[in-house]
Amino acid sequence: MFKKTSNTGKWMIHFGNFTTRDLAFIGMIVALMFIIEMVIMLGVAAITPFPGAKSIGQAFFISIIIAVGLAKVTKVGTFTIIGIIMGVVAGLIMPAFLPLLPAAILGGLAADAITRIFYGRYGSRNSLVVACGVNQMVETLLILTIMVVFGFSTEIINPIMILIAAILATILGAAGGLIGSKIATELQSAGAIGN
Amino acid sequence: MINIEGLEYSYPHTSKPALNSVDLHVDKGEFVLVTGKSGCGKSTLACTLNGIIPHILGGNMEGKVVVNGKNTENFTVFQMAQEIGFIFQNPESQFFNLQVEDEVAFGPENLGLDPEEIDKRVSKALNDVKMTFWRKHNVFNLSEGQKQRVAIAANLSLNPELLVLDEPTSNLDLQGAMELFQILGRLKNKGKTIVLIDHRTQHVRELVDRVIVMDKGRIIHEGGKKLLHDHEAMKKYSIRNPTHLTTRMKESNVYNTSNIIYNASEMILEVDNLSYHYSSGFTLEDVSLTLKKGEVLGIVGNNGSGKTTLAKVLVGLLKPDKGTVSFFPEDQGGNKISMAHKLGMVLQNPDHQLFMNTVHSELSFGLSELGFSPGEIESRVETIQESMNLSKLRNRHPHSLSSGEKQRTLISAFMTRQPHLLILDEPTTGMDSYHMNQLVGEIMKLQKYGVSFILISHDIEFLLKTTHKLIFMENGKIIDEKLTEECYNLYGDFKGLESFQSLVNG
Amino acid sequence: MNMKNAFSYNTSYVGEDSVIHRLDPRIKLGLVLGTTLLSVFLQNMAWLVTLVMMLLALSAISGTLKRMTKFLGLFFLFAVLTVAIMTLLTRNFIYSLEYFSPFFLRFGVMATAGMLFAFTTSPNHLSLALQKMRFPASLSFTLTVTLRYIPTLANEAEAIFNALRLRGVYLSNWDVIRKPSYLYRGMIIPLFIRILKLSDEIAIAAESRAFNGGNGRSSLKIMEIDRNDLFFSLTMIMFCSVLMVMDKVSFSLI
Repeated sequence: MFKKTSNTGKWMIHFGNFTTRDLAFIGMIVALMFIIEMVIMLGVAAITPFPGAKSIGQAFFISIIIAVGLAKVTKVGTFTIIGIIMGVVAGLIMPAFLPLLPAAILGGLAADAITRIFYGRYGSRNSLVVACGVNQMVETLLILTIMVVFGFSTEIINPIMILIAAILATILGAAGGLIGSKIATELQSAGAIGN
Repeated sequence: MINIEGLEYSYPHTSKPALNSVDLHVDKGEFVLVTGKSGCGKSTLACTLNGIIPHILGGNMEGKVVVNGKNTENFTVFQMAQEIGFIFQNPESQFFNLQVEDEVAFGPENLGLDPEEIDKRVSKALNDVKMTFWRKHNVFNLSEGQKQRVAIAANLSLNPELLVLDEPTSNLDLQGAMELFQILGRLKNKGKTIVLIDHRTQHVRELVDRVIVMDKGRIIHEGGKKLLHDHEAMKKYSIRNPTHLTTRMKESNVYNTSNIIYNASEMILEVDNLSYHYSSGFTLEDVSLTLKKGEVLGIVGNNGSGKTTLAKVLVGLLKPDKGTVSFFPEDQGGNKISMAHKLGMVLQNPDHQLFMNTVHSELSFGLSELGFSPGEIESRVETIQESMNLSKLRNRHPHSLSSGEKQRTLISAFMTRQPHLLILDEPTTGMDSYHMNQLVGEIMKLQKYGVSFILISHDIEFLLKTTHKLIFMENGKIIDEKLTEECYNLYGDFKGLESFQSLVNG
Repeated sequence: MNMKNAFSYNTSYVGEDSVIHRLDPRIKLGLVLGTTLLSVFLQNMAWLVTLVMMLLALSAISGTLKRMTKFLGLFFLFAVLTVAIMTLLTRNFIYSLEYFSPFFLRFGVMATAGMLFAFTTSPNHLSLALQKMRFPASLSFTLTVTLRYIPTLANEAEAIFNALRLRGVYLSNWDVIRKPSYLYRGMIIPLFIRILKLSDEIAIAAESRAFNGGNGRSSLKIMEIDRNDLFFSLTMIMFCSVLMVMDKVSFSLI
């Protein structure tokens, strides 16, 4: 799906094989992620000075939602779209925290790349677990590294702390992916996802 | 304009055909009403007209659908868009923009027209639906009727010859519906072909050229508009027909609820000077009412008159600023069981209220929260399941049920708590007369056991069949209160019904 | 809590207007990026404070200062809390303050600039600007759906929450800890069912109105960089250059 379309001069990534239905569904998934993220952010970030807490706190719940989205759409590239849209919303609109933009996009790209190499498409339980884990790891690493660049005390965020936070986020992300695949199965039985 | 031959269709993952050997021919400039029970296939038929079926929803389609010379098999939905305008039941779910003007421009923008042409089309479309004044306004601040008119304009800007409207009035109050039909009349005069899908027929009598009745995926009747004046035929096809109601009532008194007995001495609810303020400025002011055991009370009024707010305060979802709500018999200690005994409320959209993966477990959801033992829960659920005819559905996923079945499941879920009072918010939205009568039967049955009801509704026919008393609300206040019996006597003929309706709708 | 109010204010407003509102979003985006990068570069606290002040002044001009102070208050609380905890740990207030202020000031610059952008740019403007920046049209459709449905979904969540309460499940923290299935059964599944239905409706509505994955779309409103935009960017570039030079000078003086 990462077809070069230099002749149309549009963008490096070709999104032609996503139907309007896919795009609308992804849009709704991101809207839901956003709501969950805001609730967690106000709940977690306001009470702890450690900036990794937010990444860890949201990893599980966000991953559940993403996993359901991936299970429905199944196409590789879905995670990148989710990353781009979530990045634009979180980075530019609310809470308008710019570092979230590159972190979300790169996290999505990484997950898509891994899935493309190992699974070909989303759908199996393992593919969802791995993709959500990878995404959370990359995102957490990036956010915390950016914090250091901004001059946050290296005594509070040292490399070991970053690593621990990333591992925790990865595990929670994978767990969220697992729950998400369970939900997708139930939605199928309700006839809501028809695959 | 439309030519359908031998159309068969079944949805993905189902074996039962949703459409079965349908043949239909519609000429240019015709106004066709397609009606029938819910689930008869009328909306499915509409979806085949612009290729939503099979291109978006998938499934198995056979036969031929040709609209304005284009066979839908060979054209995608967006290619058909310039031939057909498609207007849905709920305008909000078809809006992508905040400003009226942007919304109407969405279609022409997709065609890649240049800005001057888009601007011209937007002006013309808004003028056609008389919404020019609102061009720069926020879509979400408009009334439901205005939103629906914007939805029509948003389709007109693509210059379609054919308009298809799928139950466009189900969220509208009377005034909104009347304005909408006025607009449709104008469009008809301008030569547009219109296909209206609806089960409410009383307002379109003058507009339609042809009526098509569907059942079980087939066209079972096709004829002129005189069908809408033929009471026997309408009854046969279970088409909604409130005009007929009054004449029938006069003859035989069958619907008169005044002869349904309730215990007038035993009070179960007393509301005293209740007030509630929203931060947006809307207020519920000094509302007082009483309810007896087994009494059925209707609350009526325009959209935004405060009916739902009142109900939310009664059930405790909103805390009143002033006034009291007292339930009788008085609490014994105010524990959770006695709370649940008091009342239950079924909200408008069943999708928000179904949680479990089988009907059986849905009925028991939350009961353990109230402190019942597992054995007691099981016996209660079994009893209710039996008496509400849900035994056959017990292992189905609640979200896979039809809307009538969903509602029955919800009412049953509250009945397991043996409440004294049930509040139903707009229970008949989008219901045909068959399903409405079924609901009426359920309410009457429970009423006999001594359950009181508060019914919030626009639906006169439904209210006349169920309620003892009607309360009229406007701008957050109770403006009138009448026995339903009095309403019969006052408004016994068609003219009276119209004025009764305008009273019900504010 | 009224969820609709909590989520709708910067995803669904039209009508507010000021010089800042009328600027091309691309210029404002440049401002956010520029000031954020500059804040990493600046070493002297005084100039960082000046930068925050300048952004607050812009916000005052646009009439969004009041809304912004709510959020900055939260942010300030966070900063104070961090310094307080650090003080408790190190028993040295001045040290803790010095330790954290550069970070929080930089963070403050970024947050203020970000909010200035967010509060003065309507979603419609943003997607027009993104289109101009060659953002794929299909993705800008997805973005539109997201922004448009955040308040709607918040409403849906509230309705589900109410329905749960009517069944005796209050979904308080304690309920969720005791029976996590309530969160799963009571909130997540119904929300997904709604999302699936709504997204189908959106897709059908979009295609019925000739939406074709965003190929060949044009626009009623045209966005072009005008004289005001140029003037504003020049002023900002000059201001930032001055700050940079002053910072260098004051740094070398020490």
